[in-house]
Amino acid sequence: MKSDQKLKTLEQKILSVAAKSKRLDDALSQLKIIPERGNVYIFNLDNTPEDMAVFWVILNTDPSDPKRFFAVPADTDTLIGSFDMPVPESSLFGPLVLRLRRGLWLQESLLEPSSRVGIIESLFIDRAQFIMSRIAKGDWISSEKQQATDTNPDYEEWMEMLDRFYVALKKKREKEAVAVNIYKQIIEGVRYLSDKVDEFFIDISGKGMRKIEDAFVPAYAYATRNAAAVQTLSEEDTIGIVELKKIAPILPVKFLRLQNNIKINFQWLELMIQTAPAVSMTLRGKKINADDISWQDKGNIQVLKVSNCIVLATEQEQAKSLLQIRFKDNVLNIDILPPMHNA
Amino acid sequence: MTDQDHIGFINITSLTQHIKKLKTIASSTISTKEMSEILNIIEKYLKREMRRRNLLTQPPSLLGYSEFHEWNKDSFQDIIHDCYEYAILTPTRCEALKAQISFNKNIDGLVYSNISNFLRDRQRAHDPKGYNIFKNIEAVLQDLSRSGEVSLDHLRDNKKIRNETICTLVPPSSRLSLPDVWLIKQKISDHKKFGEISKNAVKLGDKGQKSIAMLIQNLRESGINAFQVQNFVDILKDVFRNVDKEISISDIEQDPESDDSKKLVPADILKLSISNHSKIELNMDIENRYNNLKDGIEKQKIQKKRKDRLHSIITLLFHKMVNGEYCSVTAIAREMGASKSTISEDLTLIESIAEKINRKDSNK
Repeated sequence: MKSDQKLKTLEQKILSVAAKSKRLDDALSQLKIIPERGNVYIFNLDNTPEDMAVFWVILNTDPSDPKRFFAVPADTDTLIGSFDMPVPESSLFGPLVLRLRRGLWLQESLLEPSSRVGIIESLFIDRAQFIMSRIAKGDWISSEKQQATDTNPDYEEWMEMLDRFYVALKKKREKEAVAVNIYKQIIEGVRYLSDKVDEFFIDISGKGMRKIEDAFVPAYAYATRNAAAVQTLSEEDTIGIVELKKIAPILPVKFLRLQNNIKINFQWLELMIQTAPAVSMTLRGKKINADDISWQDKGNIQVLKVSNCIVLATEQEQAKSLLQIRFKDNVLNIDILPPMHNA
Repeated sequence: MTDQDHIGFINITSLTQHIKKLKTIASSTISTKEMSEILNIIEKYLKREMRRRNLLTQPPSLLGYSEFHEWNKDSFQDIIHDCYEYAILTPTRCEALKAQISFNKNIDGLVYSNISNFLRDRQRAHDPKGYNIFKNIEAVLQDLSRSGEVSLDHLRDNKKIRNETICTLVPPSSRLSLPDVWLIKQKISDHKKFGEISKNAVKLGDKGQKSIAMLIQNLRESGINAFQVQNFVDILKDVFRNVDKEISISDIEQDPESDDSKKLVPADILKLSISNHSKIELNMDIENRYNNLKDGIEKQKIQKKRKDRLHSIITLLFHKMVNGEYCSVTAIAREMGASKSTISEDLTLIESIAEKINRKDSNK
């Protein structure tokens, strides 16, 4: 074939890919906001290899909790082991291989519409569910070819990489679960403290904080200032947050244990990039190293991250650790307390 | 600037833009200049990976380009186009690349990984014996190395076994030298179970790996101290090729269930008039037929357990059909955990439900 002809053939293929992509976009635009069986998601996960992309396909909903979904990882590698199921190219989101043995239950709050990138037809999801049920009963007999693939070092290596995505999503799920639950706690806590709430001042000590600590270790204090954070919440929590916002603008504060001290990371969510303010911070009157303060662009949300603020462990000393965040127009003070059970 | 830096630099500017564009592209928007620039990037990635896999010195037929005797401008043009199609134009790979861009991640790694998988898949498809032998050797040596029975030197790509890897079968000594290749070849050919080994070693899996382990053990017992992986692979390919010509590619690659003498064409059971048995596009008609059959099964006055099985069988049949695959009563029975006679009865019932649907449709 001549070079020009070859280029023409490629152009035709590009057009067919674009046409399929358009069909997919149309189908995606018809979907409801809530996740559905067969929906495909992709997440930006920490500590995962950059030379691999993993999708997550929803196989079913928890019958006892409609906001909980079972998702399995899927990728475009062609090696198919005993517990994998290929989805052919003829599918709206094919070709793909579902890795059925590495599924996870995910809360709806994790499955944002912006992360939804594909749809797989019910025919393939039914098939995957059948195989899953056989696997669960210990009755699944894979083909000899699949069993041979299980022993292929290339496949083993691929599965090891896939496991890193599995672990990363599991961590994200845990954080999300804590975050979602903590909002409920905070709402209650801040309501209780609403009398004390001054403009841009949140006292997270007292009953509210203890409630949180009782429920979660490491302790989390969470809050939001605007709608950006609300987007990740369930409807019920959203209503709560709206109520909360009437009381005070709030900043998410995350506490992590670090030996005897506490390492804190703050996250400030801003909807618009332009509104992300310049910031300087002090902790107990000392300025925080500028390198530890950064804005991170997360799509249409700006996240302010403050790292490596070591605050003291004992409650007595901690009481002095007032964190002051200076924005262009205002100052935010946060009183940080150590977790209740801190050594 | 190194070659690698250069590739990375081009990639960020051109390839990223190109992938972003693919979603909404119309033929007129791709200029010849842009296309050739993208293909140049693919070529650089591809050549780098082929060099790494020692494929540039191998005949193109090894990767399925049997019309060419060497890697030249024409053969490269073919493989570059195929590679671009595989690595970038496969719809889900393209979606993955777009997602990676939206995460502000560098797409170099993902493109490179796709290209690496492209070469691996071509090798698997066109030199399955060579691929299987190498992977069996790799698996065995990994195990032996973990248990301390061999030591491995000249590992590459994150400590992986590659062609240049030297496997030492005895405690390391400073005066260790590699034996002549003919000697290793002789020892392998003389193995008392050579016939069985040669049949198994070209098949990926436990049996093949056990055979390779037996050969390595035999080499050790015969006083061979070390070997280079590439030599070992070449020797095995060579001796097995001569001895076992009756093992065809299809024997190695085919699923045993497709050997079933009574091959069933899923479309026939589902009463769908599809002329050619090949991969078919999943369209609304197929989906409707699937849903209609599900409804048809639901309406049957039969036990729930049987209904569930019928649902699973039609799912399997549709899945096989869109993949262009045959199935067999034996394979279905094995998967469903039921007897062949039960499955035959189930298939008859499915056929009758499908016929009813056809009659209804034709009356409309």
